[in-house]
Amino acid sequence: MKITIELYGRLRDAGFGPSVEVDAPEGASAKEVLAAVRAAFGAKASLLEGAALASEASVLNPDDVARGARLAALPPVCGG
Amino acid sequence: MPELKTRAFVTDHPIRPEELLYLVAKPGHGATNLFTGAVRDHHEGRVVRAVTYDCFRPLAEKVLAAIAEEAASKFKAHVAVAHRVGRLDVGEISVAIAAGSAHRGEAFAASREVIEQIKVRLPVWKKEHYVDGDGAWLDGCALHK
Repeated sequence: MKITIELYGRLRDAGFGPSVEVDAPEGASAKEVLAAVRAAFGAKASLLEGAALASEASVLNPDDVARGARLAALPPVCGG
Repeated sequence: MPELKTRAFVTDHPIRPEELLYLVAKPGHGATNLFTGAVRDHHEGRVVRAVTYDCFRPLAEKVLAAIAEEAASKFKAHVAVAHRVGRLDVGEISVAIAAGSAHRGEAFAASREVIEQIKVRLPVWKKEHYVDGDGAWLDGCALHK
C-alpha cells in the first residue's frame, strides 16, 4: 500500500518536496519503511543516514510497526 | 485544581522571555533562572545572517512538554519553555527556558537539563543562511543511537 512520509530538515531540500510516497506492506516496520524511503531517494539516499521514523506521537523504534496519522522521516536533530 | 508546574510550546512568533519568568515565579520560589538561546552571527568561521528552524510540530510539542515535565519532577521546579520556528535573524531568540524553585541549585539545574535534552531529543532542525548567499543544514544528534 502507498504510505506518505513527511520530510524534515535536510530531507526537505533534497528535491522531493515536503513528502514522498512509498510502497510498503501493511504492518511494515519502521526500518522497512525507512528502507523504502532510501530506495525512493536513490542517489541521495545518504541524506537519510542517522534518520529515524516517527509518528505524530513518538519516535518509532526500528522494529515498531509503522503506524500513525502522520509518519515522518527525521534526520539527526538540531534544536535549541 | 492542581497547580500547573510546566508550560511548553512551539511558536512561530517572537518569544517574550519575561512571560516565561512570570509563569515560574511563585511565593515559595526563592530562585528563578532564565536561559535564552539566540541566533549567533558566526559559525565555524562563516558569517551568519539568519537561521531557519524546521520542526515536526505535533511531535515537537509532545517532546518539549515531556522534557519540561521530566525536569520539573527531577529538580522539584516549575519549568516554562518555548521554542520558536521559522526564519530568525541574528539576535532573535530561538529558545527560552525559565525555571523556578525554592533554591538556586534546582533552578540552575532544571534549566540546564531542559536545554541539554532539547539538543538531543527535540525534532527541530537548523539551516544557517550566510552573508555570501549560501546556506547549510547543521549536523545534529541521531534520535536512535
